[in-house]
Amino acid sequence: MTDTISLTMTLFGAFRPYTGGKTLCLTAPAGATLAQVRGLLERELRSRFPSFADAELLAVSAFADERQILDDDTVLADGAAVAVLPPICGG
Amino acid sequence: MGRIHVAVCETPLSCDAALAFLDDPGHGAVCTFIGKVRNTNLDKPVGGVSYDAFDALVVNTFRAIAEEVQARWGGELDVWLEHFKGRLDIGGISVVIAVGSGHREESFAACRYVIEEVKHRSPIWKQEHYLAGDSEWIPGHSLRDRPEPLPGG
Repeated sequence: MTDTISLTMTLFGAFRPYTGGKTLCLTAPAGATLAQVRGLLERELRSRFPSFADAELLAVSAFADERQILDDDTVLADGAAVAVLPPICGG
Repeated sequence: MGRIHVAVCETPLSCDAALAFLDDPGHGAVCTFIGKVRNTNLDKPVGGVSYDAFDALVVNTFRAIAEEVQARWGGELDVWLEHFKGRLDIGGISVVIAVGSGHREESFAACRYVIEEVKHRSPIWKQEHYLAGDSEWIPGHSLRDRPEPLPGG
């Protein structure tokens, strides 16, 4: 068993300008919960994008897979694809 | 059993396609809701809107909403639900909802239910482009159940 897992993050909506529509690879400790990944993602965004100014938006964003919104205590598997969903505004 | 069609489209939405889908001799009523891009928002002149969507989850929520319609107002209802993804100019069609039913009461109520649920459950985002040259992602409804305190809060 490895000590870390790799996650593929896709950021939508107002986060698009940072990633340009590309996915972002994130390394997390094995057994990390989504709540921990949220903190790691914020640190990664601050590191990669010095102009990052959307921590408050990230705090109210949901994380999801292709089927459902994920709870904060979800433990992610190695290779998981996670979508970061800021507050929605369709219609 | 009624039929369901749901999709996220990057090509122009067609109201004719929705009406053709709902063409059924058993339908005495067809109600449609068409969402369009408006030329102002909060007194700012708007030139267009870009829509972003997490397609897979959008389709899942659309289907769940349509199935709720059938469970609530009758399994024989037909439901059409498409949302646009990409950039639209003023007057462009962002969403088409159509419901066919035996009587008008069910299709009116179901149509209203669908658009309200889409706005609260489907991961779609709207970026307005203003005539002044700037753009802004529009704030919306958080899908997060248990928000943490904001930094510094």
